[in-house]
Amino acid sequence: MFDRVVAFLLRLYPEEFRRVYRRDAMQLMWDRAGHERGVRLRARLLMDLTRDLVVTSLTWSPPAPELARTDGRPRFDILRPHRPRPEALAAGTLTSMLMLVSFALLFQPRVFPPAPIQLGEGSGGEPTGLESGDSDQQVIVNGPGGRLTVVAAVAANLRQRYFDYAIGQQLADALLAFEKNGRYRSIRTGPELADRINDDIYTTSRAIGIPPGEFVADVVFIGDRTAPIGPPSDPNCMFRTIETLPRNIGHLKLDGFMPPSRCQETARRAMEAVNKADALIIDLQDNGGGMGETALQIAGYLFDRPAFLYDPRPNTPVPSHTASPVAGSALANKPVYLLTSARTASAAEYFVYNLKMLKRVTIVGGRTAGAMHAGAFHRIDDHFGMGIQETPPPDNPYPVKGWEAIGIEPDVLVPRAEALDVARALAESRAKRSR
Amino acid sequence: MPKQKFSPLPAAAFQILMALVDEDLHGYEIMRRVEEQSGGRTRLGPGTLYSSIQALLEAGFIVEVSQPSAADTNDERRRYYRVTAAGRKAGREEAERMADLLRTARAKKILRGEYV
Repeated sequence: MFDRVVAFLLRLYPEEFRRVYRRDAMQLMWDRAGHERGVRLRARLLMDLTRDLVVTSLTWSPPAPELARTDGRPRFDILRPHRPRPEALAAGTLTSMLMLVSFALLFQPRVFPPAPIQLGEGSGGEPTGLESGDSDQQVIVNGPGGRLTVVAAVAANLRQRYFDYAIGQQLADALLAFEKNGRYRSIRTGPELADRINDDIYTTSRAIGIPPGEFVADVVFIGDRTAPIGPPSDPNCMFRTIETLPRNIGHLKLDGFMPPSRCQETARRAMEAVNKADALIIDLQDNGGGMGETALQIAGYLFDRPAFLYDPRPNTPVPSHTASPVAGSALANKPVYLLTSARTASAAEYFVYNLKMLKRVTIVGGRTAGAMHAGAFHRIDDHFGMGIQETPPPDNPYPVKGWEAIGIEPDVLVPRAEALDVARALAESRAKRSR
Repeated sequence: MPKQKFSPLPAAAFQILMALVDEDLHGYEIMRRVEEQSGGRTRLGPGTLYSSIQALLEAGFIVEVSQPSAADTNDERRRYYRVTAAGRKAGREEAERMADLLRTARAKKILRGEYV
């Protein structure tokens, strides 16, 4: 009976303790039991054991793991979690920061060939190397090695990054096949090469079932790496003309949507300047894009309630609705004419596309560029970059799913030089009818 | 795993070190020696004894040693322990610390009779 009670109490000790010292503890108790006989001593022994059990359960911490015991047999211990010491935390934080800095320095985020395109000797005996007198645009693609490197990098990007794996593979295979068949052999400049690759991406994507206008990827010729990237600094925030034409027609010529951080107030004043016009013409023929926020701000003046503007970019920072009505705006119900051309691109097309889908404007001029620029941008080398749709595009409620490659068709197709006059005539005609 | 701090040395650990000063002992012998040297006031249970032994091993104050000759033992499975030089030093420092405490207590005249 006594033995059973002792064995039972020993089983209540912490598992880690029993695993390490069970045999020793048993031996100790048997030794004591052998020397401490009689009811009183046995009772004292059980009391001691019970008290020791409580204390050990509250204070026991397991031994440090060892790779081998003295008998040389391997052991596999499980480390019990302990609260890290402050000095260990500090050392860990410092080490992590050093590692991050090291990785950042050693592994620049360049997936593709880090060196500029090698223009070494080609099999076709074409001009090679960076020769004096060649323009940057020419030398960039001179030689089959240069073109092949760009096309291979674009293909690799499509394989790795396009959100639909199967389509990315097909597009990449198609581009490499085009290159192999000599489709790009005659191209001499960077912009030409980018345009041709973009045509092929779009044509192939249409052939495999991607809806017209939906963005897949696009290649852009950046020029020299040293060239500044980003919106140019312009004191007028790219507002080239702010005027009121005869018959009270407001006229804005806007060549870019500059960052709201420095142009929000300028845009507000420009819209206020034409606020009392009976009609408004916004000339976007030379507007190559910019910041969607500024486009959204200007669009806000043209509605009397919040209007949804579709943004093809996933996780876009631009709000989905205009901040309409804008206090004091008298333009919400006035006719608006947008002048467009093949140079109207990117954020300008976002502006034009949405106002067209909302049937809020009349578009006069030429078809827009069809440059959605909706993808995540990646450098290919010093001269080329590309945007890729890395995640599925947001749901688009409109029947025309975008403007990539196809551009936005004007309501009134006229030559560039005539666009303003035609828009004025339309505005005046409408004003007469309304009187 | 963090090592147990031994400043001051816990009473059980100190008693075990003192028990091992004269000779190598196994667990039960240590318990008996501690009971003797404490006048019967301290009886170490298995949990207290072996957790203290473990902490002393980790601190390097004692080591596990091979058994004395088989003729001297009746169970070859017992583990014997020996105090190290570091253990002796730690025991001495702890004794000096307690001596300081005693001096303080003596100066305050709060000790009486045989303990002084």
